[in-house]
Amino acid sequence: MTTKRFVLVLALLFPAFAGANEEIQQLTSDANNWATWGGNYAGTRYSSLSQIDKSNVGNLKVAWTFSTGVLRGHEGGPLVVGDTLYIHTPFPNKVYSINLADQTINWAYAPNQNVDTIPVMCCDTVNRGLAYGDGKIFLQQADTTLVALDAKTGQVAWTARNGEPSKGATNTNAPLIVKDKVITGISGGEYGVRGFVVAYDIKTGRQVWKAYSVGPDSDLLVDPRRTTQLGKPIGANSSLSTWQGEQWRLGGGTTWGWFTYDPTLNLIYYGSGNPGTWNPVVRPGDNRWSMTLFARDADTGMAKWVYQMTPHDEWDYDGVNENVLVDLQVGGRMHKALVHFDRNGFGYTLDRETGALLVAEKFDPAVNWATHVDMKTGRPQVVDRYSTHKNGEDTNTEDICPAALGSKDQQPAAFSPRTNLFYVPTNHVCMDYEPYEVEYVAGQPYVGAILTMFPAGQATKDGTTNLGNFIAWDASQGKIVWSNSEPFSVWSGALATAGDVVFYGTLEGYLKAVDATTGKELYRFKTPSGIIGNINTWTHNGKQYVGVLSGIGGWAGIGMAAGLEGATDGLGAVGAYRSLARHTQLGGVLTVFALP
Amino acid sequence: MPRALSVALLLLLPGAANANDFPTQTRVEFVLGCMNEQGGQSYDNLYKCVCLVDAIAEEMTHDEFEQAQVFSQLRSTAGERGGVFRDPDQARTLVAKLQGALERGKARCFVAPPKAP
Repeated sequence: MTTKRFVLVLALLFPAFAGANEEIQQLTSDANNWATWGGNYAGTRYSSLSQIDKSNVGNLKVAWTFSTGVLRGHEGGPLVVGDTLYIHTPFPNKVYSINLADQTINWAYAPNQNVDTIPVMCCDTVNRGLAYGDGKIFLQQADTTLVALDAKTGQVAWTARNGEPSKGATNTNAPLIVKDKVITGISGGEYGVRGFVVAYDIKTGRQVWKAYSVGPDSDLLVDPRRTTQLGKPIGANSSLSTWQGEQWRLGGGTTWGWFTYDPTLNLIYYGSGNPGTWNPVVRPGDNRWSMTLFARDADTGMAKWVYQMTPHDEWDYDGVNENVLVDLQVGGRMHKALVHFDRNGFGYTLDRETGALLVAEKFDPAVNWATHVDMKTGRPQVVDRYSTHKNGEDTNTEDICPAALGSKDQQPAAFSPRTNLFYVPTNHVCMDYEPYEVEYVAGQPYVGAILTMFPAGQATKDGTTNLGNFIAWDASQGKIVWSNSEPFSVWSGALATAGDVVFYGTLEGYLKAVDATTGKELYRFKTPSGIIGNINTWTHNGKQYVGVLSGIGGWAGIGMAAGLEGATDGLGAVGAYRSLARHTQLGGVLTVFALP
Repeated sequence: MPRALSVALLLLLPGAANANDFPTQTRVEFVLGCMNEQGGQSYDNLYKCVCLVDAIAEEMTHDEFEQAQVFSQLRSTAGERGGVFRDPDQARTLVAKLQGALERGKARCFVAPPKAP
């Protein structure tokens, strides 16, 4: 390609934008960096780096490790901008800036957070990572404080308070930088928190707009005539009319997942979580706009379109998973598409410009709570036998697939434009579910259901016991292309590269590399602990590296990085049967791989 | 004839007993952890812990050992997600198998209960 043509292509791909956008698009178009959680605004988690490829990935070795010194689950992954790597930890949400030349710490940030935040975090004290823009690193702390740190010094530039932890509001998500704004959400759906997405000014931390998931139209930032669902205007009071009385005030629809952005359409994309209280019997109606995909104008927050995947949720199938933005041929036509693997077990392909539903198919054959999605109405066709609402309070509904943790949780998928396939970490777990009556108390769990989980093979009676699969998915057709059985649910984010290698991590602690075309395993390495982080890649001095956080609550493994001589360090491979207190002195570890 | 004999022996023994497939990394990590629990790195502890990991490797495949570890170590995971480590049948059977192997191995290898930290 000539330089002139290259510039032209770049200009077509990246029209000019003001402020941080331009900076982030430049940074993310250079595969030497990994400058945002998804590698790019589209969230494809694809890298054009190809030094590590199918033929040589089997030779990967550990280049260096870094112990975070913090316990519990380590989600998200490192950001790399130029010669610097930024890594975060679970609560208390430390941030380290690491010089890639010698792996020394440039600066460390350790916020002083009230430990009372921990008990109101529903699902371990995770944090899904940082955002970079405008010379700052952005951290969304567990106590809801959004912090802007000077990327060079680690000094606090500004902070913004995003919610009230004493009422159950916390944060676990990674922010997204769009133009002159920092986009973030809120967690706490299990505590009756009403979800929202909010934009803060990148220079000052001042709130610019805030859009709730449920409630009156003015709170939702919708235009009843222009905001559409499947092409039709949503009309006035679209949320209020689907709740009884004031229930919407505790309505959930929290926003703890990932944000993606299309600079050409100027739309941000995300999904909302489950409606308040898991007991569906006490909240009749569709409970809009919980369990909904949103496309919002980045400048104003105004919703362009919405699509509720699971009206009147009866199973806790949060709709927060990532929305990957790719251009796909569907039904003989190219679409600016959005692909979303929902907890409810359906893989959705939508037109991201119009919100039209193009494909909705099961990405785990075990899914049974609905037979299919009606493509006209967009509604899942629920099977009565698995309806926890129909079966009622204090009735145990058996063999529902998937379980409440969904066919896929937040761990993001990857997409390779070379194979046109999505690579998806999945759960293969079913459940028995029993709702019961519950009263709301601020700051207390507002769940109202008992559940038991087991391998999907127990419900489908096919004799299998695996709890997860790692699959390749054709989003144009809605079909599984290959599927690797995993003993445990796969809770790490995937990475696809131009070397036609796909990486993911497992709960046993393996980093695995598989052939992008066939799924054949090419490499595995056991890191010090279970992997629930995302695998990212970058270069330093012209050499490709692959890095991943390991670390999960209660895990007893330990690494050289944490110092094998530490007397109380929980080197407890032997301690499988002993109290965990003895085995929780280790920290999470960032393991970085390279070819020799 | 010796060949036929070894085939017969193979058939008599359960499959797992023959696997003995723990990689070096697993054995080293186990031994270091075990010595740590026994009070530190010494030849006394090294001999006991090497004996113990070999005893376990005779009773379980490496896959079984790893899965038993994940189930037992993650069963205290907070929130709904923890259920997936507590509830499945194989969680109970694999953890029980590891416990049994540890108990028999410890008796065989003179491994004392861990010293308090």
